[in-house]
Amino acid sequence: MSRDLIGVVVVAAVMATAPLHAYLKFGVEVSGRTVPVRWSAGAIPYFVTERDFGGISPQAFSEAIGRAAGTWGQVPGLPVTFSAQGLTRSQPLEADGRSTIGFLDRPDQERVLGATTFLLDATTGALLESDIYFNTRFRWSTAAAGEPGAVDLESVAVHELGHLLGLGHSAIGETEMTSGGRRVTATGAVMFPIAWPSGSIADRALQADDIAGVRDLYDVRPETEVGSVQGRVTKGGRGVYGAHVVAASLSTGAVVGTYTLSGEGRFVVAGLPPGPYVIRVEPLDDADVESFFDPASVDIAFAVTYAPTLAVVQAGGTTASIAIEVRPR
Amino acid sequence: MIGAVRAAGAVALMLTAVASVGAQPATGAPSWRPWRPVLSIGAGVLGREALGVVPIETRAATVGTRTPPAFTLFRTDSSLGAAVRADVGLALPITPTLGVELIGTAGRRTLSTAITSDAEGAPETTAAERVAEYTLGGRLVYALPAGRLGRRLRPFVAAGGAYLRQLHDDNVLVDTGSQWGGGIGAHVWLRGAGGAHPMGVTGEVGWQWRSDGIAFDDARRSMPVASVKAFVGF
Repeated sequence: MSRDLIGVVVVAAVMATAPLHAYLKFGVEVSGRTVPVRWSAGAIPYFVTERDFGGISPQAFSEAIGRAAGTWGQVPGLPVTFSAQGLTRSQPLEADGRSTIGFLDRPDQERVLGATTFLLDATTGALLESDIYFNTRFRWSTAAAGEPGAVDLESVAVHELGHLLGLGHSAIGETEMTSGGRRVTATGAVMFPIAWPSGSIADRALQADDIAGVRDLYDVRPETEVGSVQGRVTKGGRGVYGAHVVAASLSTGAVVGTYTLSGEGRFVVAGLPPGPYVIRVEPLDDADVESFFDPASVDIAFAVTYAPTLAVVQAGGTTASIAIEVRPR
Repeated sequence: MIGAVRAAGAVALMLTAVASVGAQPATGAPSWRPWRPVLSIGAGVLGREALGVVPIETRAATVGTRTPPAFTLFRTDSSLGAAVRADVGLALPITPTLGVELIGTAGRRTLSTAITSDAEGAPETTAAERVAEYTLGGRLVYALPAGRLGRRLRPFVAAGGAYLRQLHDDNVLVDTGSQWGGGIGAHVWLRGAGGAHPMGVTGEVGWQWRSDGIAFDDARRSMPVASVKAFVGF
């Protein structure tokens, strides 16, 4: 039986841009309903290409990917695991039913370090394949302590494997404009769309936002140990679309974010351990809006605003709706 | 640190014993009749309780390190505000000068979090919620010599501990802990000093220390307390 296939390309780490907080999940329209892009429980088999590049052998490449996969594997309760299947002569982006990870020449993408693609069954939304490529336009490193002037492959692999699992970009990060473009000054998530400076290896480790996102995506501990915050962001009484909403735990200092994804400005921050949280709302002005989603109706013309009430999260519950009125700027 | 919902904690125990050796009521001074319970009801004032400063941080961009320095997104400084609470006590004198007392309190406080130093320059603000707070515990109460204070007034010292239960907004989350403290005060007999069915007023000031319960750092918190209660003996 033939299948209708959908290819979804996700641009991941971009060399040069930045803000602060959140995660998105991918979804596809199947028969008029939105289906989350995620894998069925069990092993996610993947292959790495035989190609060496820039002094990185296939074995070193494979080991770096394995370490990145292991990082996601440490998330407690995650029902999926990565399973290395060895080397392949296939290339990323080939629709061959194999999830393939490797270097690829993409001189046309001068700011894109790497990307993740999906192949889905359009009739069911089932994931058939997901490939990741690392752009040979850049100098890469697999050195244990990082290498000045080279992009850390393991760090970017952790980010791309997050996409492969079904996570979109987080907006938890800060950037500043320099003569060479936008530069990251801080991030609170590996899934932030802009990579750290060359030589950095900090993104080899997940942050609270990444963990909350993937646990929410795969329904880990949905009812027993975590809860969520819900609310509505308005400006002049009207809903704000595309606002970045962050929940910061007073107990742990952990930061988890989300977005308002409806015209009414409603949001839900899920996967939060119980406790009181400060809610902060900011515009998506630290990176290109299209790094996150369709910028057509995203409102970034408002000032950073805090909710006047603390949000108290209970295990297995959702808070009463928290109203946050932002000020125009 | 504030925990998730905590299981019932240890019920308070009285540890601070006040020696009664040699204590004798001054001539004519009022005193309790042993083994006759005394009920007291009143109100107390609880001072502000600092809960800790928590910086909300992300990773600052650096090169070549697994543990980059922190970048402060904003800072929080939380406290439970001063509040009035209801106080109920049931005392049982063991001797004319030494007694044990079961104490319960109930009140509502405001948990306020001051938000400062926003990385993007947002103005300082405060977020808050209401917290219902209950304690149940016991203490030792020792009547001091009245001296020249008169025939109706008797000073005392007291010390003990209590189980602390705090309920966040709409009772959606419970934090439990323990509380210890001591105080000094005076009983004023309006009727029945040294006899049956005494009635009067008790005033007291003191200091309390808390561990666990709502807290955002590991420091032990403390606060002043004061109370005024009416008492009646049986």
